[in-house]
Amino acid sequence: MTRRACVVVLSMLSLTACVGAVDRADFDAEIRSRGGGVAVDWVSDALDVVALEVGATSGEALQIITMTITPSSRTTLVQTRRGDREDFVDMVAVREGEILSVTPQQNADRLPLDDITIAAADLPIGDVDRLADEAILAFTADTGEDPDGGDVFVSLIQVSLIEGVHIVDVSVESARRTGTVRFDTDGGLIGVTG
Amino acid sequence: MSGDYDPTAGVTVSAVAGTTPVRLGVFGKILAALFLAMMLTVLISVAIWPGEMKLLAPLFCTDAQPDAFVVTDSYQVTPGETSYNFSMYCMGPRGDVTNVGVWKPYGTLFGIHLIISFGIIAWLGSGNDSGSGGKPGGRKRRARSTRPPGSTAGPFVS
Repeated sequence: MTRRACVVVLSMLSLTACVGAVDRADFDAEIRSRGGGVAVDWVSDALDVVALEVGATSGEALQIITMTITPSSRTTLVQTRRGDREDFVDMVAVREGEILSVTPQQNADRLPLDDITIAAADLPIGDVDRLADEAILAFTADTGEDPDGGDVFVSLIQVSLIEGVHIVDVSVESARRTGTVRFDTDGGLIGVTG
Repeated sequence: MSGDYDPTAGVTVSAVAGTTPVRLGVFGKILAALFLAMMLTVLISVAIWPGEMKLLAPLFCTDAQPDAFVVTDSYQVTPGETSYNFSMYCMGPRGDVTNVGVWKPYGTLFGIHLIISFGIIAWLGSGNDSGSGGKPGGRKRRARSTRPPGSTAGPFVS
């Protein structure tokens, strides 16, 4: 029996090794090498979570003023009108599908909310994968870097209001450079800024 | 060996030659398997092979995020003391990740190790049974004689 027990223990030890885990830096590098982590699934899910929080019927029905998407932490920050009180505006933060914080925006009822909001359905949210890919291509065309080199990634996507018009800014980074690729709300490329 | 041995009563474990064997009943087998599973989980999944969690990718990762990673975070708790945390993540082809955490994978691994432990205990038990001649068809071992070599049997037979 002792011999059998030794065989069992030695077999288990010989089949294993100190392998299989990566440290955080290598893991983040792997995310960057795959483009940064922008995916339509979790962005849409985050908007649905926000809709539930503010009393909107769905994520696409949200009336958005500004929005920030941080792929590395799967965080979405949305400044949106409440569905149940349309003169109220909340800033809602969602991380990995969970509400992180809800901050009421003071004096929002004094703003021309109909003019400064846009429905989420009118934003290229469902096309965010293509937007990220196109941003990387435009950025690398501008900088001369290799888009498939493995170190160019999307770090941030922002929907903001500039002179009464909503625009989508995609921040792209590489080891040597940063840049912003701007799109209109139809997903059309406007340009690249350094 | 002292006392009558009933091969159906349970597993007989003799830690030291010449001592009275310890018989494990059902409750003892369960306790032994739980202990062995806990030791296996700590030894293999934590100390030697944290990447064992990646074997659970089919259970915890979706088709959209099929690649499992076990990520190590190290913290310096106090000078000279470093703490390590493990987390399992599922990653998609675009680098999108879902944090599975650590307790669900470790709990599942503990369950798998528990099944293996039951198997090991049953195997060791069957080996002991066959060694004692209790298992039908098993190898029979000659009982050790307490008489000195060359002596004859006395008038009294125990």
